[in-house]
Amino acid sequence: MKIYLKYISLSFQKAITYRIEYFTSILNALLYIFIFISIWKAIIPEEGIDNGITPEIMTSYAVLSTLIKATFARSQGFISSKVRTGEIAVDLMKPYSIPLLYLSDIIGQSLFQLLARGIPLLIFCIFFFNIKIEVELIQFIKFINLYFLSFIIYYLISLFISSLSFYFVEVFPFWILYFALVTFMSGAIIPLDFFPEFLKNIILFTPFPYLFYFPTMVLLRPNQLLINYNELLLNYFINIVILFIISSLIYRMGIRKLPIAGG
Amino acid sequence: MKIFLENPYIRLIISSIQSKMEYRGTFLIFLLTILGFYLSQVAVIALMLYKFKTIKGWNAGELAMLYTLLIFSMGVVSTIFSGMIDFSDFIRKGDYDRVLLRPLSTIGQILSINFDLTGLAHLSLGFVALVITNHLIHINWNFANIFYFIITIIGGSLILGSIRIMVASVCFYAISNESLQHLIVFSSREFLMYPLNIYTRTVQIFLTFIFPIAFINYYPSYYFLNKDPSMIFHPYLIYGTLPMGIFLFFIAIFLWRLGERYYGSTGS
Repeated sequence: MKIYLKYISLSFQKAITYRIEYFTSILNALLYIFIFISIWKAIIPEEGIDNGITPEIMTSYAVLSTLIKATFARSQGFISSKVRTGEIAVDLMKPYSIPLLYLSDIIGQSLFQLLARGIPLLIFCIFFFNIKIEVELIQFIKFINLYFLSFIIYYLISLFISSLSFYFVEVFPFWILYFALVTFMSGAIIPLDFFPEFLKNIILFTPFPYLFYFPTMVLLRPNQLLINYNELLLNYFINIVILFIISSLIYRMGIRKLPIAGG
Repeated sequence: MKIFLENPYIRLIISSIQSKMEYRGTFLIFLLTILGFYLSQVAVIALMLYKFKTIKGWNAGELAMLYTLLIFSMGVVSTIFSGMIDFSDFIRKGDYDRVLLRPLSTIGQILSINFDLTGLAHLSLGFVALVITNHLIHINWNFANIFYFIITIIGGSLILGSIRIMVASVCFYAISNESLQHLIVFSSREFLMYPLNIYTRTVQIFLTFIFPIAFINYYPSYYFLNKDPSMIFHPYLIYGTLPMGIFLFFIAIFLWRLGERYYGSTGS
């Protein structure tokens, strides 16, 4: 356990060292927030649309969903670079688990993103874009729960894609595919409420809306959730169990077919 | 033909294409996923239109035209100017010193070495977008319009290419420019997915005069769509794409030369 905690703090510190990286990443998040806010203000009429969504709600939505997404650190090369260079042969001999090390790496970096990017940007946006988020304690606790669960989903998907590097020379295309799916159906840009009914029902069967859409909505419109909270928790657990089984299978089978170190 | 093939730049380009073709499977998968990513961006806009019909007075066909102009310029740029991406790697590994030793233009060599056929996938996507545009709205493709379309793509490509050169020039001073590149070259393109008039006035001015990417698709599309140009800062802006592209290109070359003079190898 100690070693994983050490690793979390290590990857946190690594994130701090790149200062220019940090400032441009702040600007990058602001750019997206600004564009999305501009769109919603341009297309949603002042008085709101049928289900009570107003430009103000969508402004908050743009800020929150973008920031939640921004706090989940990207760590794409952690396992795949080890596989490509063969470094993984040495790592496998060491007395710790590589998936857990990967988890520590993502946690450390994400903590940095949350503290150094997410929270300051949220405060900035609250003043700059004049957004009002009234949150009761119980609602906030619900949000923290979902945020935590969606982080686990995020990690398991990352582990799944990373483990594909045992089978393919290049896994980057899979990441692009993942970005495409996130763009379209995670709620990072467009909330599920705007989808036609049949598409919405299909998307609810994928893990993607659980990444950013539901955590954002539980803060913004807790009483108008598409699925009620208890059922939502159940869906999160089902998603996590399925993703856990798939990603650990892919990882284990990958390790077994790994041809390096004479194995 | 023989003289053409013996041109050192052409030979560099051919060998670059050949080396990429070595990994044909990876190349194809990469192409497909890139197309998937662009499709998802278009799907987002399609969803907005499904729900709201227009985006600040721009209907589906007009937005498709906006996208067509953008994706064509992007296609040309990512084919020709891909060498400017990851230029920091080039500098870090000391490969740039090799380029300096040859009696050829440095920019010319870097662009030829990294000539990237993948970019042409954008062009096929551009043709699809163009067909959809024509299906949704009527544009009279007479000689003048086709001519101006080509001029616009050249101008737009020059604008995007110049931006890539400027961002790459930063490497001469800072070695690493990845995050800056991500912000200025890639994320900023997101602005152009939507018509400029959804943004605040300050941002409109910024994207017209300071970081003039609005010339790539927004202003020229007024020409093709016969939209009322009194809505924009000045009606002549709809002809500004090529002049702006040439202007930026000269600035970019100037900044590149400036950086080159400063450059003193990483020693690796």
